[in-house]
Amino acid sequence: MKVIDIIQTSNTNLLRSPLRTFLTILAVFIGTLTLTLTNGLGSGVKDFVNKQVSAVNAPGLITITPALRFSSNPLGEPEEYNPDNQKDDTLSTVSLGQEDIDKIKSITNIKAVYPVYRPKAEYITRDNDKKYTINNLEQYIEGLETPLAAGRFPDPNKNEEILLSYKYLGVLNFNEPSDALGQSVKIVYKNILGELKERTYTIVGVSANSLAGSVTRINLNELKEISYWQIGREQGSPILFAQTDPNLSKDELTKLKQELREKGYNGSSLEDQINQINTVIDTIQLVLNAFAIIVIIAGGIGIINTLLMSVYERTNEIGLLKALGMKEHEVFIIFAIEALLIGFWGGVFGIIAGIIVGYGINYFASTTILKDLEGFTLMIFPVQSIIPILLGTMFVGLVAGTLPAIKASKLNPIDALRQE
Amino acid sequence: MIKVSNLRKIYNLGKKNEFTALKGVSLEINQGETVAILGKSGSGKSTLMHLMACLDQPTDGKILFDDITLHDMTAIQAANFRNKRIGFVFQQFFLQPNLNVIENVCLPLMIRGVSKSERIKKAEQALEDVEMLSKRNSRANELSGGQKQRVCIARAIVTEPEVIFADEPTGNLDSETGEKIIQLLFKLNRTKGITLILVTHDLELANLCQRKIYIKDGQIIEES
Ligand SMILES: Nc1ncnc2c1ncn2[C@@H]1O[C@H](COP(=O)(O)OP(=O)(O)O)[C@@H](O)[C@H]1O
Ligand SMILES: [Mg+2]
Repeated sequence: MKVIDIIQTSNTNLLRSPLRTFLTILAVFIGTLTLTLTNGLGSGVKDFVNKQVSAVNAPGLITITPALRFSSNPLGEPEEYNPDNQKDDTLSTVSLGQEDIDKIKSITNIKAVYPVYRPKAEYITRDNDKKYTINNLEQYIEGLETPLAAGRFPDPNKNEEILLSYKYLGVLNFNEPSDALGQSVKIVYKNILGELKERTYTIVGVSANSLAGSVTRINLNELKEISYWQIGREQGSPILFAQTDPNLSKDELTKLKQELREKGYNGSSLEDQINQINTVIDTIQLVLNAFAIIVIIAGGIGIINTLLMSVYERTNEIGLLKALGMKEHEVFIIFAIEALLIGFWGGVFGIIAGIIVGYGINYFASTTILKDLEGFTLMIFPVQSIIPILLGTMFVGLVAGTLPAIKASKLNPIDALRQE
Repeated sequence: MIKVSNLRKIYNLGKKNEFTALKGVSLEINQGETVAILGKSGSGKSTLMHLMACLDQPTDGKILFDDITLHDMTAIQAANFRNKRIGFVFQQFFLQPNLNVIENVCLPLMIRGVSKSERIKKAEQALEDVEMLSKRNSRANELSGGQKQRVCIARAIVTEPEVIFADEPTGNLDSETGEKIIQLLFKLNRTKGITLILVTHDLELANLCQRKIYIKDGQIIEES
């Protein structure tokens, strides 16, 4: 038989009971639709997070946290006291101070180490008339690059320069980000004694809106001074930033992290953090996909069922075809292709419907919940994630078709023709 | 052309429901003959026909088709053999209900791998031979019994076979229609020289054949 005739025969057979074929395809369709949507969501979120995180460009910046050493076994026997081998059971005991900074600075390839200062500010104002709370005040470290709406980053040596959050433009009566440049704002802080301190800053830049929100940044030294004034002493920091040479090789970076670990710290670069986020997204996506795949497998069982019924109904026909000279493998292929086609059409329609629904959701989301997040398409459908879905449904169809196809191909023409 | 010697067929060999359908049958059929295989229902006529048509394997004995020993062939060889050299006409027609008349007639050629244009040309010729060309686009189940059997005959002759095995071809037809079908088969025998082996329990029809072979309980009891 010619290949084209085999395919056409399979196709004609499928169209014989359109309703039954439709219902069989439906199960695969629903599974594929779900899979397309979960994949689209995963791709969309991952794409956005990566864009956002990589927008924060900090070449060579490493985040350092203390490596926690938990009690080896909470259910174990009490251990004898040893002052040199203490374990931290809670995060609250952990705070990195000058001693840690010095220790880390001694590691080769680390150029500078910065603690984190986040002094609480009372309010921000332009003319003392209207005051607004400001709680996303962060420090600017040389080398850190985040998306800008206008202007530039503060000069690390000029404590009076500020990078203003996009969010404050409206309330501070600036129409355009560029209008704010060169203008001054005041931020008022309060110390533990209840005294107020007013500082005036010159706006040199406006930070753009991003997933992490839009933050206001002030130089590290300025925040350090404020922080000291607020509590009257040097403050410990939960994390430290270390500046390394951005051109370090992978091996050097690994060695550096290893050294940190030996000293009792964990170091992670921006890349590590992106990878961690991606792993989380991948895991969530995997769980969602698992549900969709279960539906598709159920669809596969539906295919087995439909084709077995069809083999049973078509016993005479198959017998006749074999009497007329059709070979076993040709009968097998005809049924296998029928199954493959069910998987294929279920997949094609499911993917198309998934993309349509996805675009609908995207439109809805972009006009409501994601209105303020520019550049975030909730679901995206890259070809390299669509093709495997289609191949997958065809594979499920093919596997499901194997049993009925074998059954049909093994039919004895005599027994088949004697029926009736 | 066909030489059967000491043919035995036991169904369900070695099982509880073992049944001997043929108990040593020998016969010879020559090219271009019309032969009737006669006998009551259950006597083993169809069994014999299936074996001669290479649809089934004998338990014992030998069938020579020209120089070929039928049961020595592989499954694929047997399939090709049936496709090229044998035409079948069945009592129950076995037309594919989802195909129209011409597609049904095309089936054996499609199985053979003949191109679409050529098989349609041949199928139209075959339908012309059985006077059914006017119904070429009808659905199979829109036809009367006699028309269906004509289409079956067209399907049998479209491959230009050497033999037609017709198993009770008039069994589902009234006698007048049946008579016409038989006349058609004889005409094809005369004009195309196709050997006709007619399985029937109708003595009147059998009398039209050159030779008659009577079967009873799996044995030949009379030949004339
Ligand atoms: N597949 C089978 N299994 C068991 N017995 C069978 C089978 N096919 C036919 N028979 C038996 O063999 C005998 C001959 O059958 P068959 O050749 O069809 O007779 P006929 O065509 O003369 O009516 C019958 O008794 C039938 O029951
Ligand atoms: Mg019979």
